Amino acid sequence: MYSTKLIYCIFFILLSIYYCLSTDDIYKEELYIRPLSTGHTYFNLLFTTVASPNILKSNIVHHYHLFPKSIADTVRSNGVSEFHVSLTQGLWRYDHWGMPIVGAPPGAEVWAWFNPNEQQDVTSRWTSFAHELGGLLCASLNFVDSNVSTSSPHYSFRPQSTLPISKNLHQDNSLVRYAVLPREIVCTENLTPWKKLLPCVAGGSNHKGLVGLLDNAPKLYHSTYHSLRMDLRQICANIECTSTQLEFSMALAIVVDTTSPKPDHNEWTFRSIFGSNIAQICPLSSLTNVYVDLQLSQTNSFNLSPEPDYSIEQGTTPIIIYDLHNEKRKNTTFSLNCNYNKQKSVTIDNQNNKFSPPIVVHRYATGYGVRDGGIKTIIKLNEEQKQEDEITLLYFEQIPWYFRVFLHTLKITTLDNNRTEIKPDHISYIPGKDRERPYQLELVIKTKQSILINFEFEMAFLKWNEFPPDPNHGFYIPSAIISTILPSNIKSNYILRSLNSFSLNQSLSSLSDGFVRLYSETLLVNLPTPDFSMPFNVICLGCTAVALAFGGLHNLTTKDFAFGEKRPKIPFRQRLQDLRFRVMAARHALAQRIFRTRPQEQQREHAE
Amino acid sequence: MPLLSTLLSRDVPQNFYKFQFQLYSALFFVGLLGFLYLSSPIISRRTYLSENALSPGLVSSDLYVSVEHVRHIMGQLRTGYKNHNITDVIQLILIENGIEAYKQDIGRNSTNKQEENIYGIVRAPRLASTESIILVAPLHVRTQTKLQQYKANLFGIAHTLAIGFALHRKPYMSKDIILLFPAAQEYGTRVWLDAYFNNNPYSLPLDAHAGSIQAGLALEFPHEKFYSIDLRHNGINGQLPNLDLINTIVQLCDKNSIATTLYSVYVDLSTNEPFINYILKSTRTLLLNVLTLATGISDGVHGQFLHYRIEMMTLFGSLDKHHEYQTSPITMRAFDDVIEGFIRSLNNLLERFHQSFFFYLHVNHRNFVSIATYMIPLGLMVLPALIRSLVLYMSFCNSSSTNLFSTHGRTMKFYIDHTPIFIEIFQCLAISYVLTWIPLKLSLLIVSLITMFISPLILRRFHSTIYEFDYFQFILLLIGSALLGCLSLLNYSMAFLTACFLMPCYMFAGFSKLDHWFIKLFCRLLFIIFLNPLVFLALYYYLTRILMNGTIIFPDFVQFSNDLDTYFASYHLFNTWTVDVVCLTIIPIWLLLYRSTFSIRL
Repeated sequence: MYSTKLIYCIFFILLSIYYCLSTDDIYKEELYIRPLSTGHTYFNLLFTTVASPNILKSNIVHHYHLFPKSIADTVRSNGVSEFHVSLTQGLWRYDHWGMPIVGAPPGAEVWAWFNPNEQQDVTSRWTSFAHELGGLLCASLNFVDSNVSTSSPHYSFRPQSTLPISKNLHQDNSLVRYAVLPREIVCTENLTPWKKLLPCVAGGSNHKGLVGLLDNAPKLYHSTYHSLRMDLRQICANIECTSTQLEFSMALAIVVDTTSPKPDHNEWTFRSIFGSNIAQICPLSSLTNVYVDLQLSQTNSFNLSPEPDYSIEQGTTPIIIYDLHNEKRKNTTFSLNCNYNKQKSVTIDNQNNKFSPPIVVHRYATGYGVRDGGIKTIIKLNEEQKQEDEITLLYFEQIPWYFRVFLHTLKITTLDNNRTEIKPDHISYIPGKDRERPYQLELVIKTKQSILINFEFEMAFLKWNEFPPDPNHGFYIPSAIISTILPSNIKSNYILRSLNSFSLNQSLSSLSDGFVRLYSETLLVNLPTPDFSMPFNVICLGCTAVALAFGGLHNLTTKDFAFGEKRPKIPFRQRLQDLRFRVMAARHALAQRIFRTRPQEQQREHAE
Repeated sequence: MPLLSTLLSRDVPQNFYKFQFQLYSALFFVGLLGFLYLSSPIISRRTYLSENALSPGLVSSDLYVSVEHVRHIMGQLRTGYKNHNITDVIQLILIENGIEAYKQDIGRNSTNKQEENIYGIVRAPRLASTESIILVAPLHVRTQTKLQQYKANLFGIAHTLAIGFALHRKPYMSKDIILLFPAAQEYGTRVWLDAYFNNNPYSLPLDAHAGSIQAGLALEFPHEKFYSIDLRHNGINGQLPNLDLINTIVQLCDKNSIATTLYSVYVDLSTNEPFINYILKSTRTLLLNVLTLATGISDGVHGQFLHYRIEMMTLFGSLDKHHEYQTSPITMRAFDDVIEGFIRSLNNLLERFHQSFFFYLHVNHRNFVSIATYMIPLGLMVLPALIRSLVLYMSFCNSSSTNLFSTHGRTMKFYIDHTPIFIEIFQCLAISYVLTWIPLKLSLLIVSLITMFISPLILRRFHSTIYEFDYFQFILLLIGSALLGCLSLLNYSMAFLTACFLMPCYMFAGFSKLDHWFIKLFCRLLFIIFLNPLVFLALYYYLTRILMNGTIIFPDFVQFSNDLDTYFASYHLFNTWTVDVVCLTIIPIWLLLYRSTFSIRL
């Protein structure tokens, strides 16, 4: 008997294990490396999980296979349909480094689409979602729900799910929330919880796969650009889109200075960048690839070891690929050494070399003093790659309410000497309200040449308790965002994240859709600030004393004092009599009022 | 307390009338001497660092700028100067070292040569280019020698570049460093700043920016070696940088045993220096401070930055030796330590400069007088004007008189026709306003003065009774004290000099009331000879020259007219309002006072 029971038991256990293993979760690990012309090297670690959407359904027993449970819980309880978070330190320099795979503004950025028709309203769900996400990432995302930094853009942040439009009805901008915190500082305390969401993270530093490169966290922050991100969206499981899947992508992009003391010589290894090598591959991953983008190979002579497995050409860019699932690499430690020399000598005009991207955005604050200011944004289109047909730019700006933007000062001109004015095709402007919502400006501009966008603002006086508790060095204006689709003939030259699949493996093989989002610099502007120190207190006290003294002094010096007539003394009896008369009069008046209103009411009732 | 409207002349103690003149002159001279007394060690305070984050000199220096490297750069620069392509050379050096470099066209100079500013930005890895520090090294430095008015700033540029390269890729840098090399000194700097802040709508936008500029340093080294550093901090219209910034530099220089001077005056603070020397030198520094600040123009490129609220000062390498034992010039290592320490201190700064003092007068590099102290002497000097106006006001009101003229709540003894008084004031304002239209030149200044002097003879004068004269004086005293009050808050030094000039004028104009032909003539003569604005200007200039040189020199008229021309030329460039204030307020008041000596009709 026992043996049959045992057999049944084992059978059920095996069945359940089989069931568990048969869920179609896919996990991919990729590392994209691009040496840049300035001597820096761009590393982009990409972890993509594709999971069944069942984990987001409520009222069923969930099984999370490779998908992080904490994320699924947060997303489910707040009815989020897709979300995107990035935490960035430093600024991506488009003019020197070209296009990143996916851009991010300095500081923290969160945007999310919410499911319609849920019990709670979107605003409260957004607040709780931001709080929970902030807790998960140890970031102060709880500030995003404040009235300074959240807006609902109409055009710039459309859902990135690949489901057909008919299927997701929520194209209404009341379901999207966009927030950015330029003041946020990114550190290892954000990296550690982020790393723990990955499936191959074991205890200690015994990580497997590409996660092993993240062991030495301080090394990752010795970089000129550091960007952590997380994206969750829904995608079609097949071409007909009969069933859907969840795609969860986590990426870490760093740009490291890899120049060596020798002039025009660059050199790096995994150990010099990350402090460790890839010890083993992650057994849960279905793909572990390392790509090296050799777009610099025309001017520099590369020396890579070990030998690559195979190479492909994306546009004109050669890319070499190491497949770590390859049998010969499977059980060995993988490490990459790279050194390269610049062949040509530098020239003055190397700043306009052919690696410069098709669009460069540069923004700066204008004016001085603490009353008025302005913002100028230069959007430069690459001269060499200039097109005959126009390019459509979508410009988005979210400005805190204490910078009072004047729309009538908005001026878009060409950058050349003529300064011809350009009319935007569409303007969507939501004026801000003091302490309630930020200013939101979206422009659709079609242009063939570089343009200059210019507008002015006035600075508000803040209440003394509205100043941040930190040392005050100014207030931030978040990045402007330019979204566009690159023209078809140049988009193939850039490795971008495609909307078909967030994993690079697929975007490299398929044709890129050319969608890019560029983030400008954040700006630091000084508001009129009282000096919160001793002199300030002295001034306040002095002004109060002067104000108090002034009234009395003014009265004394301008008014003529004279003796008034003495009031006649009223006997007590007379006073009592007065009081009696007053009470009687009040009673009389009350009675009159009651009797006057009552007949009116009765009349009204009769009429009805 | 009696009401102001019921103040009567009989409330004034009779003894006061006797000693009025003595009291006024005593207050004036006490104020004047009190100002000089500011330099005494009892009054002046020792400087201290108010901002804790600066903590200068506490970072362990980890830059190594080798002397060979600097010499190599200097060699490259020298060939650049020789071939007149210095901007190209600097740009090439910057780009070779991986620093982005840009040029800005600033137009043509007087010799019709195209001039360019050049600037590079050392990007900090920890920040998204929101804040920056600026190091400025003008391509040419103005020197005092007559042989060569402009010298190449080889040393300054080479060190700016070397420091920039050394700090490039340092992981601790949290503010970008802008390296600016302006051509044509102040003009180039101004064009660059206008473009940076887009203040001038016609200027072309710059290629790159680095956020809001917090503070900076300008290096002017006309020679390839130096024995001491002259700190220059005068801004436009009497603006000064935050005292913490200067203290940081002084602290760092002291640490590296570099002698620092202010206005080329070195005050030895060691105990073996005789006390009288200390007092003399400190007074000299204090006077030079006030005399130079009063002009409203700055003594280096930093003035333009102060205008944009960027705390800035200039280090000028001078060849004066101040220590007896000092035989060799300051080493490059010591100098680089100062610059590095300064940049690291600013890098640590989390806030804008807001602590410490913005209003101060230096007594020497380690002692200063704050606004709370130096306002008192000026107050004492202006006090006679206020007392006198009160006394005049009280004398108007006399209720016991028969000839009553009643206004609201106020009784006056006599009837005053206000119209001629205001016509007189308007006339004088109009004359001086017309005179400001004349292009600023020395010759025209004299022409305008002569016009002013003969104006009482040709223009219709205001003839007054003695009461009207008092009333007129009362209005002038109020105007004068209001002007001095406003000026003292905007530019203390100028207010002080104005008070020195105007107060005696008031006094002698008041004397002309006395009924004696000799006194009247004497007053008029005084106005022409001593209380003449041009004479005052000449005296002021001569005093400044003497203090600057430290020895008695003879007046040099050619030098005077040259300097005046330079001043007028830079006046437009700097956006100063000194000349406007002088022409539109001080000259009219003086003219009114002068004309009033003619005006009493008996």
